Amino acid sequence: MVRLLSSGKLSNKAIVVILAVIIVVSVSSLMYVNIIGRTPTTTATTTTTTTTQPTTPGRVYVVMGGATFVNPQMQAWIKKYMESVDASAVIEYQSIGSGAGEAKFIDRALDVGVSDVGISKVGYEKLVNSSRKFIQIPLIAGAVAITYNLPEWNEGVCGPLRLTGEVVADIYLGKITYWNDDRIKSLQVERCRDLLPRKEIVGVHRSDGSGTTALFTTFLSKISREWFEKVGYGYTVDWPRDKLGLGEGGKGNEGVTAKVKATPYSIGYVEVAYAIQQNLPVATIRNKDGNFVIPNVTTIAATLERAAPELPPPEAFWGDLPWSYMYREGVNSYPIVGTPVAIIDLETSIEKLDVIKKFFRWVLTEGQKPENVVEGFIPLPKAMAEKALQYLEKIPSKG
Amino acid sequence: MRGLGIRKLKSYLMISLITTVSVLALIPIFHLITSVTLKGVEVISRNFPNIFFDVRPIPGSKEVGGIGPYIVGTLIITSLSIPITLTISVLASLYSSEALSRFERSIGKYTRLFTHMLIEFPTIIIGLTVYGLLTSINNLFNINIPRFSLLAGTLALIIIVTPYVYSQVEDALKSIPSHVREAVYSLGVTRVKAAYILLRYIKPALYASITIGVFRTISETAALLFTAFGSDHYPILDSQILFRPIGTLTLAIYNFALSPYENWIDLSWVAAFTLLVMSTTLFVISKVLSRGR
Repeated sequence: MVRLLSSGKLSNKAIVVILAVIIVVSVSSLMYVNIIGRTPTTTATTTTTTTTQPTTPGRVYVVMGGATFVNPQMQAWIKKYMESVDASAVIEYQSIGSGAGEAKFIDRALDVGVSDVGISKVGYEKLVNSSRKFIQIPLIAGAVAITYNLPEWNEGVCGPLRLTGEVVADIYLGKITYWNDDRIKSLQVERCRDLLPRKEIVGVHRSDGSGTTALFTTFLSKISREWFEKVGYGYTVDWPRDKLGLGEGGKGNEGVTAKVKATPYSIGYVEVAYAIQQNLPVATIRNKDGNFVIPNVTTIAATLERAAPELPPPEAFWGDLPWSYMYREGVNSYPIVGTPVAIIDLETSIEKLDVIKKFFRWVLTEGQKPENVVEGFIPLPKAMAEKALQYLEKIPSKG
Repeated sequence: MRGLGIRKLKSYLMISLITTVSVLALIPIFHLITSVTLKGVEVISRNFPNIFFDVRPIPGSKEVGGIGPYIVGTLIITSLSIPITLTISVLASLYSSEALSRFERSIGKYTRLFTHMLIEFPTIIIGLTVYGLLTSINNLFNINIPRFSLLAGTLALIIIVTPYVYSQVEDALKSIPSHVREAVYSLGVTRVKAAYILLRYIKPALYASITIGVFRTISETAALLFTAFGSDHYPILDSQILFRPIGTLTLAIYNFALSPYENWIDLSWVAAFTLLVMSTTLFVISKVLSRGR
């Protein structure tokens, strides 16, 4: 095309300049029209919702960041909140990871940090030692699902695979090596026990630091003394099964999913939201009352309802909260549950605090309604949301 | 004549082997371009042309949404950082290649060494360095420069891209034949004028290095995570814009592609396709420009 053009009378340079001008003008005018076209609608809603506040110079901009797990839910909340409730301020959430969320909050680079399992002991002490003022609230609930790749298993006849925390711990410890181990066999329904093959189990886990791993290993630590002593819990742990050559790591939920899908006779753990979206087979886990339960809205809410009274005060150390969620009593309680925790800086400007307070108040009330909850997330039980709402009152506001 | 036959056979074998290998080497690139184009165009067709203006959709819903803020963000951060990058790198390369005195030469030598080291640095470390630098400035002067901001992102991009452009321009300046350089200096013009003439001499290479610089800028992700931070809203064009986070196409790809939600994953394809189109356009423009004379 270039050669064709250059054979004409116009010089190359002129053509390029003309083309560039056309492109720049069209793109910028489209952008301009679009942004300008939007402004009247937003200002219109602003004036109707906040009549007392006529165009303050510079919009309030709240910067939040942290856990990747809640990102879809946060984006949905922010979008709905800014579109239908209050468009006067801008609320930003970016998924930089739970660890970074905590670290950058301590650094005062974030107004609100979100972490999958609450702030760590070290981080908490740093905050207390520098006498920072902050509060913590739970946002929404999620759970960890155990998925598997067992070609012989017929879910239609046998139902989902049944597992217990002890068995899962021993699989990842390397003490149970084969699928037809008696301890796995005895959990299944009678007619399906012989479907379990004599194949080595491949234990897939996250290779990156993640809140999902923290929840999963907290569960294993609470249920198995040996796991607690040998491995412990955290964003990353030393996987004993890896040392036997029977474990593999995958990056992110998608990495674990891909590994499990590609490796027959493997087992892995992912967020429930991920398992639902990707249609993965999900194992049922035996809870404290001895029932095998699948993670869903009822079973996860059942666990949290029992844990609600144990929600620590807003300024306390929340790192032990996941521990109190795991393996709860109750007929329906699913045993591996977590709530991402938001940590709110009370030392930012009053304008920002006002926006933060209003936003989270909406999140804990309207935000927990089914139409505002993204598929795969589970609303907080009423008791817990109400407690969190009381915590929010600690945020100073303009009035 | 048997020997000749075998020689010919060998030569044919070798040629076909080389052809196969080079085709094999090109396959990933073709695969990348075709898959991004096919998937990108397919998703774009669902919400054309609004996909280039809308904001992200609710994950898991039927909405397609769009990547408007990320396009604007990429354009803003690129147009902010590129002029500074070019100025620094062209001036530095002129200095180190046209050094006259011993003192100038030694400075030039260290500049070269330093930039070559800088190129090898993982970009995420540069991002963290900028973050840390701003943190210590804040602590030192007891101020609060927002670290998650367009300012920090631009700074990180300048530090990353300058060495690339510098070494490209410097290589081009070095490749100027000595008789040309001697001729220029023997005119008795000022050094500034001489530099200008030399730069004109390497014009095609200059355009190529500018293109590489812009490529590098629009494709950077890791360094922006803890600097530009990312944003899902249209940047507000006021005096505070430098101190607010800004989104880019690369950060959008990073965030959307890793989510489990179909409509978000689709958007990351569109963002990837947009990046592809942007860089191809740039490439063609620079090719045509450098061929201009």
